[in-house]
Amino acid sequence: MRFLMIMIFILASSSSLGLAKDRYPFSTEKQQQQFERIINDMRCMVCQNQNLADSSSGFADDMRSEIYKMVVAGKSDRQVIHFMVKRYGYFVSFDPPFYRETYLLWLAPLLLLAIAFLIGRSVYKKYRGS
Amino acid sequence: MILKKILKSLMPLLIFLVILAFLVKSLHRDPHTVPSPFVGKPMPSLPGVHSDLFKHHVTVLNVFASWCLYCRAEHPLLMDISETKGLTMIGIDYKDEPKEMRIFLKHYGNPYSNIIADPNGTIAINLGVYGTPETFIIDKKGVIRYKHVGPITLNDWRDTLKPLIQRLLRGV
Repeated sequence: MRFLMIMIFILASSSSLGLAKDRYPFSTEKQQQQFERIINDMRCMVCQNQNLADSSSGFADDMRSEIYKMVVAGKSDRQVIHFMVKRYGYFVSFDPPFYRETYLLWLAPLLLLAIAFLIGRSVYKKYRGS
Repeated sequence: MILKKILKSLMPLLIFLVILAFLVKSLHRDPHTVPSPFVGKPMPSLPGVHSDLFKHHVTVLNVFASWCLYCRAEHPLLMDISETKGLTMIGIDYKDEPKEMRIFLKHYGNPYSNIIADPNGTIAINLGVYGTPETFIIDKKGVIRYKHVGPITLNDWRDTLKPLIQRLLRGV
């Protein structure tokens, strides 16, 4: 029974999380968190609606190890993201900055809200009038 | 008043037309082709590659691999392109076995005057490459002038790449 318990414990502890940590070992918790933050915020260019953390493609793997190297070298979030944006364009980031190509994306919610307000007001006026 | 009524009844049609315009536009757009921020910029420094390699001549830089089927498809055209006078063709062998690559080039011909091995894809990432094949056209000053994603078709070559290369060779 004890043997069985030990086996179960060993199996349970070798989870995928453990494997991921073996693959990208960090000396500090902070770097680990930084790495996870960045790969969650970046698009895999091959499978475009997945981020780097979720994608299992070979390309995402290369990007992760490249980001890993930069994080270990002590680069900041901004530096790592800048490196990738310089090479792949703003499309690579899931959190694009306000820019000429992206202003419509950022302003669209406000624009839609304004349209909704105008429609709502005209409907309200109509019903109050009758 | 009548005008307002007409306008109101036309509203759904107008909205439909706007949506239609967007749909028609996206029909001709390939979401996998992302514009490269490198076009118009000098060649970035690549780990283990001397930057002079891309200067003083017009270069076609082709990212390929022996395991890549689309590369095989565009290979005959690359062989033709490599015969263009004054043009240098450099290959980046992306995540490949050197042995496999040699067999590939022996079998299909070697259009490259220089081959850079990129066994773990680091050079490709530094170039903003996200698949094979990809092709860059670099002018005599080492500035990237064009990037083509995917295999080059005969039409791409005739309509876009060839005119650009001819212009660059003339030194414009």
